[in-house]
Amino acid sequence: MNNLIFTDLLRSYGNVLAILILVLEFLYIIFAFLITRQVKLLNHSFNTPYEKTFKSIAWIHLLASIGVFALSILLF
Amino acid sequence: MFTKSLLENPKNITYEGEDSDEQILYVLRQSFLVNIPWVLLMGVLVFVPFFLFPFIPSFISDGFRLGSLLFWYLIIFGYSFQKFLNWFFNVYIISNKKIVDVDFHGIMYKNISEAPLKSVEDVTSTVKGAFGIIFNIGDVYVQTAGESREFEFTHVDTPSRVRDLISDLVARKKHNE
Repeated sequence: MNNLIFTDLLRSYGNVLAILILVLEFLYIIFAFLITRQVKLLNHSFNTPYEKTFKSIAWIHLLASIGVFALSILLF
Repeated sequence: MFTKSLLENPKNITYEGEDSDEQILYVLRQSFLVNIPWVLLMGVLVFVPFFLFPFIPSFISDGFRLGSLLFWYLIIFGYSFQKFLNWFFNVYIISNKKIVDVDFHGIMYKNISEAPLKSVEDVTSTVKGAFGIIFNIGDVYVQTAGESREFEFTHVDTPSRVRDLISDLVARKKHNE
């Protein structure tokens, strides 16, 4: 009986942790999106030959954060 | 090379508010060495999961571990990229007409200030601390006339050379007028 309660507690603890990580990952997507806007603004203010490189990295970073969020929903 | 602190007559570089008859002579940014602390920190954080994994309770699923691990590395990458951008785009531009200070901090703050070269009155360079003396990194202060505006070029490589370049440029500009 005690063992069952303990297992249930652990499971709910794991669920809370999973939800917390998912919330953080969602907030991170917003951060990644802000970085793409920032890169656009930076390139506009100070334009260098690396403009496209920075833009690509920012977009790959945003797509990766969406990918990790989607993968986490599937895995958790 | 993008890691250079001082670019002379840079090609394909423009800035917001540049005049059509203006030519960028120097682009300055903080020494690449100022990035060392966060690069080292990120280097350490990369290995943190390997030390933590043995202590993760067994009720945490493998899927959860993998998702968290990927998220961890994403955060490290995002933070590093953000720090690099802050370093790369915080520049001091010296053109044949003016001095421009472009400041970005985080993702929410942007400040651009400029002053004509002819208004520059005094240029001072300072090297301080063991780090500064070993690597010849320091600050250059440019005092302009009129309002008490001072441009502060912090942690630049070879500050005395930068001071000399600006002083010569200002002297030439004032001599020609």
